[in-house]
Amino acid sequence: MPQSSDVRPSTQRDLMNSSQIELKSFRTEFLPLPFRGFINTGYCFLRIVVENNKPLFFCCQLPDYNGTSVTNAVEEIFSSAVTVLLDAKNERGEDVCSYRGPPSMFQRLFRSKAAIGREQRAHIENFVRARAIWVEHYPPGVGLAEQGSFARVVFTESGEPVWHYAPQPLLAAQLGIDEGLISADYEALSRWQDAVR
Amino acid sequence: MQSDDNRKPVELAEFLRVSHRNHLPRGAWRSIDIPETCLRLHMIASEEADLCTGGYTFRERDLYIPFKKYLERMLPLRDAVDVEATLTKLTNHRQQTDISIRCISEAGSDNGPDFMPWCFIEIKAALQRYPIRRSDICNDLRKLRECRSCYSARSYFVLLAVDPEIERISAFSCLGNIGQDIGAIEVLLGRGDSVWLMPAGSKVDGGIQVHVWAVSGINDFDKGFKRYGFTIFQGA
Repeated sequence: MPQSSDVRPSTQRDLMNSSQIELKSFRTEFLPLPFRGFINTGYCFLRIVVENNKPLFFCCQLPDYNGTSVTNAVEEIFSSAVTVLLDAKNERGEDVCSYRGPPSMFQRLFRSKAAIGREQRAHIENFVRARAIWVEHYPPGVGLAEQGSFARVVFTESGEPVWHYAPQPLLAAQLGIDEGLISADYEALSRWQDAVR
Repeated sequence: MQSDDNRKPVELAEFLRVSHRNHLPRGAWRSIDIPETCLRLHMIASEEADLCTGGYTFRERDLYIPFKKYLERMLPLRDAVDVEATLTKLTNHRQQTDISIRCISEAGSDNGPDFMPWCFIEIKAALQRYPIRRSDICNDLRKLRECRSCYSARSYFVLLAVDPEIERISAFSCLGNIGQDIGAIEVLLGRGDSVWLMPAGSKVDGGIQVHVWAVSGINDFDKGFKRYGFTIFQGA
């Protein structure tokens, strides 16, 4: 299970330039993605898509699942998903998230290579968190809304999640993305337990 | 310790009945996302809509009691919610807020000068027969700002509006870019004063929209600005 790491929004922000961070086009899915639930391990479906330097996370509650909900564990799943993306490699074996330019003179003089690497990773993590689009979905018949639901979840500066519910076509239009990116194959989702057994 | 259930409403009595009693002998910590519960007004409005025409022609005050009942189902004590409580600490002593939720320790006590609510909720419904004016919204925001400082309580503003009204209200610019802002914003109310708003939830569907903001005189929307928390004691 991926573990979340601490975000350090302090000085490295000033030492590094966001324009030097590159997110390569990428797409992956987890069925299921395990995460730390309140009592037991929780599971959900997660799709990560990176296009135009913007990461999209589509998180879906699974059918026939009674553990911690994707709503309750949204902060935990988000942290896990960001860590997954930071460690991801594309089909050519390249890091999806990378830091382009060389270290500054200040960094070369006063920081070890390992420390610079940690700072760069923290900076990339802040970048990903700030630009991430998180969409939460409950399929029809799963959760409280009979018709299912779609919501964009926005994390405030203090880390508090805020839910904005909208119909799927409207949400896709608002986000400027293809509706297919926030759609799920419900039949495939229903077989999620096969992968856990 | 948190319970392993949904953030959505759970009847307290039901919660206690189930097996948590054995697993959590010292009790459990629960919290309720108040702005999220305000989104329930979308469903309440749909239920109140005219069955023949499907139009949203009811009055704002028709929402208060159904919403109060909904809130009470989620809270640990049934008499923690007040409708149109008088706010004696404000400059205008006769002012009222639409809905207020008391601190747990205050539930059931009289609404006297020591009335200590945990949060205030002001609703503005812009429906088909009852359009609202900019001054209506600004007055509510000023009142909520004062509530936040006088009572040290959370303040939330809820806008319930049919789609065409949203466009008109957006032009008032006293609620920022409705549905588009994702962080705290300071809005000018006129007369040289301003208020801080933090978008705290929204639901857009079926021709009607609900938007919720936390309100304050300063940008102090810290972690937990949406949560009403309480401990459930198993012996209770």
